[in-house]
Amino acid sequence: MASAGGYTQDLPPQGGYGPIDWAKRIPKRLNGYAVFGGFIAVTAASWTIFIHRRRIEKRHELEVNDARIAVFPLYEAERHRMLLRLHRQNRDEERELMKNVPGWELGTFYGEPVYHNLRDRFHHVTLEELYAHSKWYDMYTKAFEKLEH
Amino acid sequence: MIQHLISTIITYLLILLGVAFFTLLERKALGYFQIRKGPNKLGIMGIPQPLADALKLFTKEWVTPNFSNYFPFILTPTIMLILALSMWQLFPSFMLTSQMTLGMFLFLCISSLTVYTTLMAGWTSNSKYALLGAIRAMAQTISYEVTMTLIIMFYLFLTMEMDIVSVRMTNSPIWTITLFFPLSVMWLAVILAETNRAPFDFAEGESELVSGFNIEYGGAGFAFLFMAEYSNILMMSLMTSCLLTSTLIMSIPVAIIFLWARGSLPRYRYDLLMAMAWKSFLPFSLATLIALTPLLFYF
Amino acid sequence: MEKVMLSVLTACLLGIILLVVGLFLGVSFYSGREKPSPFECGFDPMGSSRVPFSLRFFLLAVIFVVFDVEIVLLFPAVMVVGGSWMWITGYVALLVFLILLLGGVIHEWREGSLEWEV
Repeated sequence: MASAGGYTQDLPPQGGYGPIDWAKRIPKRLNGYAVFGGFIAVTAASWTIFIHRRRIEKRHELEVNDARIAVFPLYEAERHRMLLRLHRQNRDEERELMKNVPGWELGTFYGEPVYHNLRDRFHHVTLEELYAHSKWYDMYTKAFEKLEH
Repeated sequence: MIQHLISTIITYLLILLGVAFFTLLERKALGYFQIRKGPNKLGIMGIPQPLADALKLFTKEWVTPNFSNYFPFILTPTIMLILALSMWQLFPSFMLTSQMTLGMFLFLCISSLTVYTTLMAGWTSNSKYALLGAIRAMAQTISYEVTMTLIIMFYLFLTMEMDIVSVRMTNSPIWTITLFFPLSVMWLAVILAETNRAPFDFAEGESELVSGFNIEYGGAGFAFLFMAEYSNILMMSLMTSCLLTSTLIMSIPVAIIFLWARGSLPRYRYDLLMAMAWKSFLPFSLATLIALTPLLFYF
Repeated sequence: MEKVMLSVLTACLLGIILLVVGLFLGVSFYSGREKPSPFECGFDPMGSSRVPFSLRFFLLAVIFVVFDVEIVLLFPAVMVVGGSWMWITGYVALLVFLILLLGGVIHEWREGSLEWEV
C-alpha cells in the first residue's frame, strides 16, 4: 500500500508458509445408477410441471383472445364514428372556405364527385385528402401513432 | 426515442466499466488459483488496476507492421468493439423500450459477424502466427455456431417467440436447465468454444502461436480486442442465464465458470475439438430436437 | 427497427471516439527498420505471410454453410410450433426435416468429411 513510508514489500507470513498440499485427492464417486435415476426423476418432474403450467397459460391466452374478439366491434364502431366526425368537420371547413367561389358545389371538384365513386357510393379518400384542412404534422402523428405503439 | 438513446448510452458505458472490473476479477481469481496474490498494490487493494491498465494501453504507441493493410488493420478492433457493444441492446430488462420481437435473431447475427473481425485482424496484420490463429479461430467458431443455434432453438421451441424477455419468462414455472440437463452442459462447452476461451483458446494458444490473431496489436488496438472479448464473455453469460434460468443474477456464476475453466483445465487438442463439434455435439443436439417435436405436439 | 439502428449507431460513435483517442494518443514518432517488422521470434520475416492454407478449413466452411442454411430454414418453425395454429402435418414435416438433417450429418461422417487427419 502506498503509505507515507512508501512502498512495502509483500513478505511471507510470520513463521513461513504452511506445508504445500500436493497429494492427489480423488473425489468420491457416486453410484452411476443413482445419478442416472436422479437425472431421469428430475427431468420427468420438470417436464410435468412445465407442461402443466403451459396448459394453464394457453387457457389464459385463449380467454384473453376471446375477450379481444368480443370487444372488437365496439372498437371498430368507435373508429368509424371518429372518421365520420372528421368528414363532417371537413365539410363545414370546405363550406366556409369556398363560400365566395361562384358555382362551387360542396363535395365535388369542378363537378367531379370526390367522396363518391361512379356508382354513387361512398369511398375512402386518401390520407392527404382526409387531413387537408389540418396541419401536416397532425396527419403524420395521426397516421403513425398506431405504428409507434 | 430519446429514452432509448439514453438507456443505450448508459448500458454501453456500464458495460465498458463492467468489462474493466471483470478483467480485474479474472486476474485476481487466476492469482488465487495459482496460490499467489493478484494485483493488490494500486490504490486501495488494487481496485483501480483495470483503469490504470486501460490508461497504459491507450498511451502506448500503436505500431502498424510492414506491408499490413493499414485501414483494415486499424478499423478491425474498432468494428469488433462495435459489434460487441451493439449486442448489449438486447439486455433483457422489463423496460418497454428494450422489447425486441426478433431479439434472438439479432444475437445470432451479431455473434456470427464477430468471425469476420477475427479473420480480418489475423489476415491484415501480415504475420504468420496471426494468420494461423485467425484461421483456427474461424473454423472453431463456425463449427460451434451450428450447435449453438440448435441448442438455442431447443429453448426457443419451448418459448415460441424470439423475444429475449419471453425467453426469460419461459423459465417462470421451472428453470429450463432441469428440462434436459446434458444439453445445458453442452451449451456451457459451446459458449466456451464460441468465445475462444480456455480450454478451447486455439486462437491464441501461446505455446504454438505466440499470441494468435492479436499478436501484432499493441496499445489501443489490443485494448479494443480485449474489451470486445470480455464483453462477449459477459454477453454469453447473460444469454445462459436467460436461456437456462430466469434470474439475471445467475450470469455471475457462469462468468466465473469461464475463469474457473481457464484456471484449471489444460488446453484441448484441435482435431478433438473439431470432432467434438461435428461428431458429438451436432448429432446430439439434432436428436434432442427430434425428440422434442412430438412432445410439443402433446402440449 | 429504428431502435436497433440507433443502438448500433451509438455503438459506432462510441467506437470511433475511442479509436480517435487511441490513434491520437498512440502516435508512433520513431519507426526504424526492426520496429514495424512482423513478429517472428526475433528473426527477419521469411517469405510472404499471405500463404495458402490447408484445404481442410475450406471444406469445413462448405459443410458449415450447408448446415447453417438448413438451420435458417428451420427458424420459422419457432414461431408456430407448439401453438394452436399448427396441425399434425406440420409436426410430421418438421420431424422429417430434422431427421433428414441428422441423416445428412451421418452421411458426412461416413463419407469422411468430418475427419481431421491431414
